[in-house]
Amino acid sequence: MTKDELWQATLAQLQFQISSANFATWLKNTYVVAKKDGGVTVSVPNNFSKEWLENKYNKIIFNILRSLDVEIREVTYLVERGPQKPAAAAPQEARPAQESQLEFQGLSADKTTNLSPRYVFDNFIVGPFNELAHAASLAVVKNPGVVYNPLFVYGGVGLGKTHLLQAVGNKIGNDFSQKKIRYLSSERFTSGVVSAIRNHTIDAFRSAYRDVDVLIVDDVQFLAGKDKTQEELFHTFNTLYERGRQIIFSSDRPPKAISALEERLRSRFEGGMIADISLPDFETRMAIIKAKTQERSLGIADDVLEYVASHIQRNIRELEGAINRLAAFFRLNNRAPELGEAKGLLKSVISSPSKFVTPRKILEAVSEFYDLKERELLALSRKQEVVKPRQIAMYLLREELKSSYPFIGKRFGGKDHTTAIYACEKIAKELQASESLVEELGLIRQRIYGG
Amino acid sequence: MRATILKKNFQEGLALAERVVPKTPTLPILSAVLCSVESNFIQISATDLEIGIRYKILSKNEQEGSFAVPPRPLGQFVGTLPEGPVALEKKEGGLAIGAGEFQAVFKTLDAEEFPIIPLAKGDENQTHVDAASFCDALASVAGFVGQSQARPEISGVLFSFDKKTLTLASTDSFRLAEKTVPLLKETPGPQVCILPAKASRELLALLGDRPGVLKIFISPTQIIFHYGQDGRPGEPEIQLVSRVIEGEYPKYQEVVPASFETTCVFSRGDLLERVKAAGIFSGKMQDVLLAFDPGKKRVEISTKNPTIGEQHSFLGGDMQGQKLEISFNWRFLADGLAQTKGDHMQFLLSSAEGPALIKSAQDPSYFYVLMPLKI
Repeated sequence: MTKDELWQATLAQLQFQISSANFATWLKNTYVVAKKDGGVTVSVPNNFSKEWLENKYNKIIFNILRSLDVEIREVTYLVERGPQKPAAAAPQEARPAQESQLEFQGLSADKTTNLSPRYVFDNFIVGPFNELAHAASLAVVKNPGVVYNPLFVYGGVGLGKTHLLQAVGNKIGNDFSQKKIRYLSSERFTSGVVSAIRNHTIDAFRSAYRDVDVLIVDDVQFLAGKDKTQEELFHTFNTLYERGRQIIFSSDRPPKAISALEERLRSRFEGGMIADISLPDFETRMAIIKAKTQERSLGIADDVLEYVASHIQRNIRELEGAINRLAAFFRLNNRAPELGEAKGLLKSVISSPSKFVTPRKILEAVSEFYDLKERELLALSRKQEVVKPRQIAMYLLREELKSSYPFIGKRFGGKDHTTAIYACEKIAKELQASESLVEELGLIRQRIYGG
Repeated sequence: MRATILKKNFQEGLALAERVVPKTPTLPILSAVLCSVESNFIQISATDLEIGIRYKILSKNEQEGSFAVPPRPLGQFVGTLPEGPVALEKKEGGLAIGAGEFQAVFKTLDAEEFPIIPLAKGDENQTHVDAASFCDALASVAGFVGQSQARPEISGVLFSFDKKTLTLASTDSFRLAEKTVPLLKETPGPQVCILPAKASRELLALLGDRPGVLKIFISPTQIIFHYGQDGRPGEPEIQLVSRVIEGEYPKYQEVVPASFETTCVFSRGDLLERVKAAGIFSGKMQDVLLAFDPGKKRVEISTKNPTIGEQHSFLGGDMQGQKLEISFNWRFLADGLAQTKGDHMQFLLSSAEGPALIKSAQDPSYFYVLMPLKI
């Protein structure tokens, strides 16, 4: 009989000998921690239970244990100090009109895990655009380190990557309280490497990350070009992976599209599960806005919410910004804005100048995406790594701005219009064949429109 | 069981014990208090299984014994009795109480069922503080404990014992208070624990402003406060035992600002008065706007409410640094000002959206940090 079975059998008999209220009160959260040399140690949740069991029930418990196992000669009780479950995840008190009260920075994030308790699955809204990422995350939460290792989540700015990652961390922390979780941005990892090198504490740095059970690294695209950091991450990754620890990454683009990333690291990123978060559809945006306004108990009319949802399409953070404006109006005037007023309020958010696409903006986005200088893109170089981005830039100028071929040619250092035609046709053809190119273009477009 | 006790003492003991009795007890016996008659004392105990208290007072005992009885009706009845001795006797039908021409019999519960309150075993770390200054310190931070269940580790008061000092701190993530009191007996070294908010409140109610020494026993799972009646036989002996909150208290020292853009010294009473007046006009957000003008050496305190109206007041003081406009929740501001001691206070501001530090100009043992409202 294992020690758990032993205690279950004891409880089964004990319930007939004492009243059910007593049984429920005094034996709640008790279990056997150790059994050896005829001694049984029972863990009890607090000192009240300890005193009561020691002084009142010791004899009955001892007799039952002894009848189950004749070798038992002694029972001791121990108050264990361990992470206790918070009492039935009490609902967060509604704090209307408290939105603007600022909180202490740094106090809210858990110091050891760096997780913010604000991000949980309960307030993560699932739609077709993030279904896959959400499902994969839930699978990871159930069996950390077993399925989908590593989990790689990518998607555009402000679509909930960080929320999802932190929710996974928080949930694992709740469900498996003994697991060590560490959440960090890749930038923090980098500065950790830098200071470890400077202070000659690289060993301490390594061991700090290598004994965690769940490692979550946010925004790994910033690792591009940082070779030493990539190397450290690579080794850390290998150590954790071998031990069956869960690793989760996020990025704003798929591993393939991260430039200046070492091949061995890229292939590892791709080794588990890659889940994308695309743009939310109208219904999901509507659901998000409704949840947010309800959270703050703002009674805003549906037509206003629909207006917001239909005009802000690419970024959930922007949705939140729009709601903030509506909330400010609400507070100032003590009533909800009407549609006309809402349009006025949101004018600057919805039709901000950054939304107008210019050739310059496209060139900027493309060069930034491929980590090139704009100058290189426009120069006459025929280096392979420049040629494709240049063709994509031409294609986008044609597609997004309906620019004429001669204009495009001129823009790229006085090239002939036939060069532009060739580039656009080539990319259009490749798009049909290559799924990854479609994705890349999607991400570039996000940059162009995302501001 | 037969005993005689002074009405005043019995009434006080029952009233204090009743506070701890849970409203919806998980065990029927928890709705009662236990009165034990032993040697020359009556001891009244109550618990909700998180906190336990004992109130022990001199009585004339003829026969030892104990009874468990719901405290409310008993306390109410004792309250109506004339001052002087009250006779208690356990009979067939329950507890008989007699005082002069008043007689009553209360139904009792089985005293054997009453939980055993885990008291000091002697192996805990022990330290002593002056009871009155401890209560004063606890009262000055206990009000700022976090309310959210989502963050249990800040839902209590942090006790940090060092060799010669005890530092109490609390925060609800919007504001933070810290108070240091000297210890009368040295502790072996640094030790921390988090006392639940309810235990802090009960401790304050139990101790009131009684003079004397408070002994504190600390173990990893619980903390015990023992107030003795050394040399004052008419006074009760009071003990409170509480679980401690598990978890690590955030490193709050990091949020205390160290550099300031604007520093001011004001008359504390004058500022508190103005903030309270401003509070009348504050809106739903409880906001009050403070415009600091070091050039004119004064601060303007203004509030506006769409339905009530608006007000402005001014206060002069010694000021240095930049002009600054900042908005606070007026209640939070008034709370901090009320707990700061002394006639003059320092108001130190880091920025319009950064934390502000309030402390007494005379007493360095207390400070209060408050986050502003976003304007």
